[in-house]
Amino acid sequence: MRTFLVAVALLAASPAAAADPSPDRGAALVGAKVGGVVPFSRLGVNAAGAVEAGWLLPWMDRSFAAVLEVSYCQPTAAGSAGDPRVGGAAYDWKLTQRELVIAPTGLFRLGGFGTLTGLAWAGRLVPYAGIGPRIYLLESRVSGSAGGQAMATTTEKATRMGVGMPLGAEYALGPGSLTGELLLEWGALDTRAAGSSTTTAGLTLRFGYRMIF
Amino acid sequence: MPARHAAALALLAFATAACSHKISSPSMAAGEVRPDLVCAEQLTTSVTLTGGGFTPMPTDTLRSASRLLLPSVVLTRTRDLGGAPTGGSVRIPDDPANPDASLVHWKSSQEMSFDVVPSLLLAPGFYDIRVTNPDEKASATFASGLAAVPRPVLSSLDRAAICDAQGAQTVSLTGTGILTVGAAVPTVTIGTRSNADFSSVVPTGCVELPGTFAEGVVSSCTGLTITIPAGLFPPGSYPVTVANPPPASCSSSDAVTLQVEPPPVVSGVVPVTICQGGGTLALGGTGFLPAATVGLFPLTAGPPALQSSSASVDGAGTLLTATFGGGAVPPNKYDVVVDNHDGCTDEVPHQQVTAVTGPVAFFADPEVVYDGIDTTVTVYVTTITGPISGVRVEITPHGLPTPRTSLAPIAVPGHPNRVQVVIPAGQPVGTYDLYLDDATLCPTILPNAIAVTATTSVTLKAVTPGFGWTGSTTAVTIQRDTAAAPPGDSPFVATPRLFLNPSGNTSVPAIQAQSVSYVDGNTLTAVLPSGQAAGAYDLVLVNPDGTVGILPSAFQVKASPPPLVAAATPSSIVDAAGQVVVATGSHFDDVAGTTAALACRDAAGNPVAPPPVATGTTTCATAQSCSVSVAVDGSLLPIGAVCVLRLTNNGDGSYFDYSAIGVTNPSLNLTTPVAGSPLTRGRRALVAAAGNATPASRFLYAVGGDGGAAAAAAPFDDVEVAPVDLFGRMGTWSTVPRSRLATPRAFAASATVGRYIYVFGGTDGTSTVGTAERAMILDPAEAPSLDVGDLLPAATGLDAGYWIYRVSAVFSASDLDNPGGESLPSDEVIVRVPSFPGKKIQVVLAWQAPRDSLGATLPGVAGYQVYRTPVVNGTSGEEVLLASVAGGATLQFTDDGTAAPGTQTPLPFGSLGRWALLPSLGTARRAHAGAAAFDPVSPGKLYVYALLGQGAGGSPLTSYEYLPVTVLANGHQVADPSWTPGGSTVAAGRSQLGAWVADSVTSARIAAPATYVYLGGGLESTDVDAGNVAAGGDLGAFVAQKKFGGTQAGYGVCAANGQLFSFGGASAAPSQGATSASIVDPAPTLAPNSWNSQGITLSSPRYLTGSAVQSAFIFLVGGQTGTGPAAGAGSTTELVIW
Repeated sequence: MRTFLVAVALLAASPAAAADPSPDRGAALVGAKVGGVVPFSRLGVNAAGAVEAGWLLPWMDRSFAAVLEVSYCQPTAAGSAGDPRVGGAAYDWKLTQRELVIAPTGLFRLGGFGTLTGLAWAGRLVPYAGIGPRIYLLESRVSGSAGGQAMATTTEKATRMGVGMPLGAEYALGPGSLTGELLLEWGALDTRAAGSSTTTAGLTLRFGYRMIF
Repeated sequence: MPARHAAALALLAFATAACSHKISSPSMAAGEVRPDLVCAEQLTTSVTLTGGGFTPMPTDTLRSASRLLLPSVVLTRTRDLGGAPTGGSVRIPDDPANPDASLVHWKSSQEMSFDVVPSLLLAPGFYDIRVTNPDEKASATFASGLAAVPRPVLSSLDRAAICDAQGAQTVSLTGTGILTVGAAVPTVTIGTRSNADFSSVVPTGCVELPGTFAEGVVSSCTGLTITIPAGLFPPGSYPVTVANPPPASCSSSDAVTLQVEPPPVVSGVVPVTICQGGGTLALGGTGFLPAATVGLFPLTAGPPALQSSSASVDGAGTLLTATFGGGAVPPNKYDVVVDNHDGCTDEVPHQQVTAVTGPVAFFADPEVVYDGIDTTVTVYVTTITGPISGVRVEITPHGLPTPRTSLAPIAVPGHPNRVQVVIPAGQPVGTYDLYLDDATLCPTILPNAIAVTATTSVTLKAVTPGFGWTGSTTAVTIQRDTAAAPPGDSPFVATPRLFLNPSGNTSVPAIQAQSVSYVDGNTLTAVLPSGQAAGAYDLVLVNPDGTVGILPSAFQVKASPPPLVAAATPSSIVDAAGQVVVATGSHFDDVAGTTAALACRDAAGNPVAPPPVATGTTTCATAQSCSVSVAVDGSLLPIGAVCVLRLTNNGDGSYFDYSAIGVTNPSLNLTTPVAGSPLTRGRRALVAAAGNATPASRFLYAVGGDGGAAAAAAPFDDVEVAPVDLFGRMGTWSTVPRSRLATPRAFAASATVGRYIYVFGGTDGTSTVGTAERAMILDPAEAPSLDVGDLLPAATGLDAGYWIYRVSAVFSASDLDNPGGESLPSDEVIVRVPSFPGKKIQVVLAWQAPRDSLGATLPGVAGYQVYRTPVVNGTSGEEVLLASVAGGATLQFTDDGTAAPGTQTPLPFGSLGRWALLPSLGTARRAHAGAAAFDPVSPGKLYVYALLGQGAGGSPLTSYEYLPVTVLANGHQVADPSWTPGGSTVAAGRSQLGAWVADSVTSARIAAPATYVYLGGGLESTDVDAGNVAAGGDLGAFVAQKKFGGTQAGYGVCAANGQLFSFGGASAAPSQGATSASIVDPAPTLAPNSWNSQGITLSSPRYLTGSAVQSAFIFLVGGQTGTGPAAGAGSTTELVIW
């Protein structure tokens, strides 16, 4: 339901942009990225992937873009602890943290980088930086065992808000551009399974390809 | 939609989504609970739950220390152990941060457990167990999965001490929470011994707990009976504990000990004799327990054993003082046996005492007295030696030697074996033993002789009437206030004692009411004795159960007789102002005057407002001849109303209710008749009579007659009676017992004077008869006066309890009033027969012969009938004939219990004596008229007339004859030996005629002392004649009067208000009309328009009906129904007010 609402909001925003009467109406962009995430919590390093779609705004020679990114990762953690209430007086646990992130991001693309640097090869390079909120759709799956008896999985679902700051560059290649990006993100995890004051914060390095139409 | 709106919508959606959170886990299922019974009060019990889906949840996994959330366990109390719904819940402690203190444990997704510990403070009851996973969604409930029971609590042992030296002993523990689980019983530990050492351990008072338990049936018990084998315990004190069976195996912790004692030892007894009437023995020895009693057992078979009525033991248990009531039989020797009631008695050989002769007190009456009044108590003793003045009577609290209250003995004249004492007001509440010592110096003791009570929890409402004359007994009714609130709502208990105590004066003994009869819990009747001092009295009621009721100033004893209204003239008034009624009678207060008042009801019987009344001056020529005029405003009364006149003596407030005065219209017309209750069978050509048993007790009689034309050959000889209330309403008819006509007869004539009903002539079914007879309405004042003569212990006699007696007189066959008949019975006497050790009680009844109104003994008494309730503790009214006592001089009867109760019951109120034969008529007559009139010169002389009719051959007669009767001073009547032929005849003989008697009371046109007898028309003639009663009884020459307008025969008659009335009989057939004739000047002239219709319609057509008049009431009874040979006889009755 919450996903649906976000989609509706984005669709509602799109006709407003399309209705701009200026002669340069901008251009659309789409892209995809893969990479690895290094969580700042006890969750382990994990692969991450994302797709994006957005619109290059016509102003300032299309230096600004509004992009909506959807990413997913599934880090895990495991451990054990003593507890006299269960068989063997100890138990093992395992947490699988699924994170589906919806990130509307505003990008500033620095065009004419070659002219600024005077390097020919830099003419193909467009650095960019951005910032935007991140909506974390979280699913914590926790299970365990004690005394040889398995504990069934308890699933905990939560939605949390966070913020992300991508910093990267496009390098024109073919019909689009290769992208390389370092994403610094922070959001509250704060579930019963993970514990209070825990976060989804992490640093993600990812590479992809972006096309502009 | 503008872009900014879309952005705002998106942000709202994000914000909403950011708040969402939910947890889920596998679903859960409930299985079993083991154990399902716990005792949380003392034990820690691990309760295992099986099922599925029990899912712990690791938490804080990304924090430094993870924790494990276990499914929560909550117990909800749904019912108490009795099954009643209740509430409350307990969450089993489980803190993941402090798992060592947790009471919840997880073994697998199919099994968990929790600990029930005392700190949970689980209340006894049934609990639902609810298990919920940490997601707080998945849960399962084990309905009534757990029962918590309390520990057994011991309250007492039934025996403070036992002695098992002489045999096995059984002790009973009482307590609560004693469980049986399946076949397992609790473990009882006494000292170091437990169940295996005992002969048996049996739970008692067990109630099965509801529900199903894995352990089997579980019951909660309130006791245990333990049989201890002989010799198990040496003397000593042993703690007693009880442990319930597992799994709820809590133990008692109450301080209950069993004392084991050695047998008592008796070393000596003083004195070595015991009086026949009881005494006190002092026993020396060892091992006497406080509960010890002493028994006296005869060495030879025969005499009964005696038990001490009280006993006391000194603190060391070495001296036992025992008191005995009467019952020892001299000169027997008795073993003295001490029983500690712990299982042991003293061992043989026993000490011995010898019984010696002396008095025996065996009954104190009454046994319960109220501490607010002086109460005279009669003590019954077998013998009293020496003068009463030498008798010493004392009472002490039961079982105690002191304090002693000395009571002055009072002799009971005629009863040398009784003594009376007065229990003074203010005697402390309690039960007392009575000591009596006479010249024999051998005292008698009556244990528990008297109970003094102060529990005033009965609320009395009224005593009716509220006054009586000191010169006569007064029958009263006592009613309880049934609306009284607790604790004043105790009912009467059969059978209370009633006392009259002078108001505000406790210095004189209260007067005990006689013949107290228990009607029900709210009503009593009693007779208050004569001879009491004038004044106000409080009524004190003492129930046998010790509850008391007091009604202050409930009864007034008057120094003077109450007024008695014999007549009210006229007996009816018109519905107009200025009506004057003259009441005549006796004992009117001509000094302070009298006050009259009317209580009225309309024709339908509904009360109406009393009219204004003005009472005139009261005059009395003698006490027996008084009058007062009463002016009544009749304009406020409806026609047909009936009023009861209450005349109150102003001096002392005593009053009399006279019934009754009718209300008519200005034309003196009769009111619409009202149907009465039916006869028990149809009768025609009968005699109807109305009379009083007492001035306030009225009855209507139907005598003889036949069952109709087809049954004319078999006339009746029985009599029916119905009571009549103050307003003329008939009660139910019933046959008068043991009073049949000497000759069955129909078409007889009659006259009623005072309490005598004269019947003469008629047909016996085959021929016309000339016989005459009369019967007397029995007066309750002319009955024997019964009392208890004595109570005698004997080998045969009555069982202890209440017995009710009545006695009636039987008259000789030659008695002029009641030949071979029986009087009404005496008032009830209720005898409380006491118990006597080894004997029964014979009741000696004594009575006085019946007396007339002048106090003279009635002649002709040939014996007495004794009636008694057939079984002990019977109820009033159940008395049946017990014995017939021959001889009028025999005034005593001893009921030794050997006589078999019969079936005959005493005569009821309203009964007649046996019919006494009178001289026969000079001429046999049938269908003639009857009348009675007083001599105009001699007040004590009256004449009964037989007028006209048909002779033996069927021809109408023109003659008459009369029987002179003398009225004695006591009201009894003596007839002359023969009828006197009348000196004249009428012109036209006739039968089925009516006769009216009119005097100055009947009509103002007739001057006293003249009395006229009118002869109406009949079957053969419409002539009407009148004769004047002359001195000696002759009617003189008849004077022809206004004739009937047509044939009228077999009608009812009434002379009143200056008129002659006839009812029915038109055309000598059943009819519903009525006619009247007015007496005009000069008497006995009837008005020219006489025999006009009264304009009323009888409720039933009547012919050959019986009629009777009493004050303002005209009663019509039975009569022929239909005509011709098949004509029947009706049972209808009706009342006409004039």
